[in-house]
Amino acid sequence: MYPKVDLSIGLALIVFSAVGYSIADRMREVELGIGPGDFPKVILAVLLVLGVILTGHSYYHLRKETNADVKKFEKSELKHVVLLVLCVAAYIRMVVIFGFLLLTPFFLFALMRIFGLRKWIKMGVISVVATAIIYVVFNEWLLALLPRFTLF
Amino acid sequence: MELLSGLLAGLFQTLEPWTFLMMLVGLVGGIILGAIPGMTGSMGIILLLPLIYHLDFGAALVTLAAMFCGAMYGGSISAVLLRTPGHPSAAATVLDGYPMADRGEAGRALGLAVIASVCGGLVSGVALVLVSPQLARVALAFRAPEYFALAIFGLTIIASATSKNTLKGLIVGFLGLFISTVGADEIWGVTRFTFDLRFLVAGLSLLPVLVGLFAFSQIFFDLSKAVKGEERVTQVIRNIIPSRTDVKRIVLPIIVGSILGTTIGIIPGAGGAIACFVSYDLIRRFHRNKDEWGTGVPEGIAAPESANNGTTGGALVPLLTLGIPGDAVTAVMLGALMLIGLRPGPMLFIAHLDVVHTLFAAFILMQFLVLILGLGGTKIWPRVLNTPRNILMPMIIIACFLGAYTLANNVNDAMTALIFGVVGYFMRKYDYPAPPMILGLILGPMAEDNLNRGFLVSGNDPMFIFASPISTTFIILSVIALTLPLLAKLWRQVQTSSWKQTDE
Repeated sequence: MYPKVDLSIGLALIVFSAVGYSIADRMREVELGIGPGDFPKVILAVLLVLGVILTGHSYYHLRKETNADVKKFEKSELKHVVLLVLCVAAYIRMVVIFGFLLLTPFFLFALMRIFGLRKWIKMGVISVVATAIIYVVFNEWLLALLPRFTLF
Repeated sequence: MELLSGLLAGLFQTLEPWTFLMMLVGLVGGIILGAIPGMTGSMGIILLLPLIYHLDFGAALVTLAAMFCGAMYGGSISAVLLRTPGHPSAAATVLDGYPMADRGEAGRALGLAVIASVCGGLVSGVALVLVSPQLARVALAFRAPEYFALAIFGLTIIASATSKNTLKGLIVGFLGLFISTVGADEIWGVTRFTFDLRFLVAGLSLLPVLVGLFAFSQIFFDLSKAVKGEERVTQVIRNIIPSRTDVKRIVLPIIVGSILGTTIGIIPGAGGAIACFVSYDLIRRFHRNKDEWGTGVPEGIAAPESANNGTTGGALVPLLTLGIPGDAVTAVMLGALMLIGLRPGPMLFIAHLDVVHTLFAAFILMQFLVLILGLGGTKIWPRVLNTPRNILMPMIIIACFLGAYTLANNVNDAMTALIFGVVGYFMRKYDYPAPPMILGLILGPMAEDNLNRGFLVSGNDPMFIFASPISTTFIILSVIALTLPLLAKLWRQVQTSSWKQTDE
């Protein structure tokens, strides 16, 4: 159980659905059938109720349970995930500038490093060969338009 | 007769070189991914997306089904050799598969797993062929109330069955429904919740969400394991073909497991993870030597393996006929099919009957291919488990990027996938299931459209939902799906407290 996290999610859900409901409530109304805001209003009302139940449920568990029942989040694990997410985000942003063929070997090299590989020559060879294979398969066989170099 | 001639035509279509090749790609890819702990059939289907854009409907459907079947069998390999199931559906196989392998009979365990898997797949294939057309015929009579009730039923059943906590499943499902409303409203053309962001006007595409929730999140989740390094297979594989004594012992477990698995598979929301344990427990309960179980008995491998493979064809029944997925993998498969323009549901049996027949024929054929690949590759597949994750994972990340990017050659889609990957990672961490969100996204437009139609036809009478016995049944089933886990929990608490009182 993660009662603290669930409590935060429950509270966030209440705020989110209340704000969403007020936005949907301002959408135009229709006489017959459902208007653009009606379906979202039903969903957000249900989410609001579910948010209240989750908040109450997790608050109850937070009061009742001992520390042994509460799962803890490993910070070292999160560090690796953050690094990987930043690396992938940077690749997605830069691939339209530097192109798939030029950037991907460096990206693969960095990924293998993040995943704990230390053999530099092996990493370099795999990065280049894998990029070339993927490029041929997607660009030549599947005729997918992979990002090209557009810096100048 | 019509079915037989359709199946024959489907068989010829399956034997077309390109379709057959793609079926092999799906099966081999499925076995490999299924064998690697943490890699699931859902991820396999996502990795196939860039390929299936280029296939016709029949070949695409066959490839996806092959990936599903291959992954289901593949899960038993790591369950037997590493004591770690490739996916939750193979969890019960560990109980007797690993002890058998541990005493030097890994080949025997793998051979039994292949035979049981193929039998389970065959029984479920026959059920798929026989049950689907009948169910589709019933579903053809569906109107707005039935479709709306079906959407609600699909959502509640997957929310309650895919999660240990129904409340969390429901929250995720309704969030999926909400996400489906973002963008221009299909009925009135009004933009909703776009906050003046242009890329949101068309709504969120399903594919990047799928890639994020099922592929990126899995990679982030497995990152720590990959960095630490993994176990290696050391067992020697020999004597793969089961002996006559083993065959005699596994006949009954296979029959029971296959039928049970197929039946459980047909129920939307219940999947292989439930089927394997139910089958294992049932056979063990009626076995003469219950104490032997857990030490490596053949029945302990045959029962769960036939059951989990039995769910494959079963899960395809509600998917094809009602457009409601039977489990997480078929939820992703539904999304993939919609992306290529194939909408599962009763109309599939009218508009694309040839495609359905191709799938039927291919499904039976692929079970024999699993037999050949399984027995023939018993010495090869375990080597897959020794593939270094620190090389495999980067390749999968590139495949995920390409899967999202090639949808519209747009990096925004890849970025959306990454954002949903992070969301999916935290969802996994805190026990919020991902499949209900996908189902909410898929069923949202169906529910809204049919709710609107129902109101228009009935003159704004909300009781239109109960206008037909079928829609009323779906609503009742939805209520049961929601309340049953709660009642079961209450029952357990009452029992526990009464035991405590007796002890005192």
